[in-house]
Amino acid sequence: MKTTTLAAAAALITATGMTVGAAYAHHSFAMFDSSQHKLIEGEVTEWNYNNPHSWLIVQAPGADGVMTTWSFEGAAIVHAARQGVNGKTYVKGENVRIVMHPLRDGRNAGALCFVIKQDGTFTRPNDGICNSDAMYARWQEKGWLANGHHLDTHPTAD
Amino acid sequence: MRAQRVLLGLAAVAAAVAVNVARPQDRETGSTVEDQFTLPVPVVERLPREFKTAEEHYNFLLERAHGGTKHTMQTIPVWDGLWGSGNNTMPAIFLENGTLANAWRPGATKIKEGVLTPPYEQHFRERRAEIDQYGEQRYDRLTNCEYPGVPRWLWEPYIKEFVNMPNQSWMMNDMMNETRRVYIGREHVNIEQKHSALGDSIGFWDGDKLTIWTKWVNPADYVRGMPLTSNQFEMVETWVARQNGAKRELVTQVTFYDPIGLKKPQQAVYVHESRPDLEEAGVRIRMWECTSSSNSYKDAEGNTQFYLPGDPQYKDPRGTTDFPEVPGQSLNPIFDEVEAQ
Repeated sequence: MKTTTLAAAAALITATGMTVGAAYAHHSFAMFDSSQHKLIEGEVTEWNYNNPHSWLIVQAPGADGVMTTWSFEGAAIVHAARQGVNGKTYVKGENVRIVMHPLRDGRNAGALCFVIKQDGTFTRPNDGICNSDAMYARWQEKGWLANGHHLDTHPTAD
Repeated sequence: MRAQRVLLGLAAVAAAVAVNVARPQDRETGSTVEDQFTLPVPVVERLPREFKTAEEHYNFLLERAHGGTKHTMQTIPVWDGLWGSGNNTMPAIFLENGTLANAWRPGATKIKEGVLTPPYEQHFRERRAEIDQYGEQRYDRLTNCEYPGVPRWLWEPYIKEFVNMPNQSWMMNDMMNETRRVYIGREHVNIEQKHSALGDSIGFWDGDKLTIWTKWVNPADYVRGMPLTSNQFEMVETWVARQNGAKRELVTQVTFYDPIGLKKPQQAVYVHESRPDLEEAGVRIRMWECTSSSNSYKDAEGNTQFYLPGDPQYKDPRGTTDFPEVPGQSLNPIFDEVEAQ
């Protein structure tokens, strides 16, 4: 069943002309749905700026409206550092807006693409699965940030 | 109460974004992993002649260097600072149109026939078919915190440091804390009678060029998405520093010997770039905490998956030790002290 889902997703990627590209990280990205992005708005509870991957943990409502834990994987320390992100970038209690590739299995987690901090700053803790600059431009161009809401989902390509 | 606070905070964030369209923050323009794919790469140097084995190759070069240059601490080449992986030609050994840029891109390449032995070519076909079907190799040994070892060490896109001394060279990768030790002017030794991820490396200097012969390496991969190596894999490398415009580079010419996996020896060239920008950003090599912080695993269907917070198997990388009731056992004391204003 899961294999079928993965195959269908791969076909969708091909059909939309959006390649997975030359993404590279500590592990495969095949568990993420790179054909879509989801907006999550929540409060930071942990920022694990660690190797082999950083993880941003937030509290935010789930699809049922109940507050729950969401987890997002980012780049390794060196890759995040050269994108201007370090262990001080996110602090506990900060409210953030996260655009991420969701897990295919529907759990409350995903791969970070970009994060808008509480003061409006754009940050790029992403790993190779996402071209965060391009995706940020796309979200701005489409008005998905200015008019966006928690759990909004949009395709990564037209 | 908490939910109300979160919602109020989020409203503020949304307003900030709506009024003040955020701009990408200033940052160094250093290369990303993807940028590496576009970096120029030197040509693969022709060998002086064909060699059947790594031993024959190494001994030829050692003899040509008259036993090697005997450096002192005053004359040894210094490769200080942080280094990042650059481009390399390894994918071109195995793939038509085999650049690093499309090595993992589904459908972008075709396997070169006759490079690998039949069982290794068959396995490689299956691996590439998986990439074409799913967009990725679904599982990679790194997921389970297995050591990448060599030859994979040559490219893994993290950071490295190099320390040359007259009797040893240390080649340190932050990834998996893998330090290669090259014993200068020595013979191979294996008192354990076993293979390992990095094998055993000996070397010599010929002026400012370091030559290395590595053997007794665990079977592994050239890199994810590329073929397997066998337990008979060996390699001969030559390392030299050069100035490429404003950049310092380390250029590594490599010959891969694998009588089980390869029909004949193959060559590639790898580049590392000095990364002073990372030093300025405060990056230092720390422990690679894979076994204690990585929550990725291979599921029953062969896919890479994660344990998440709340799962019994989840490892909290910033939690506490096994003794949370004892004061001072948090692994995250700095972060825990800082709250958003």
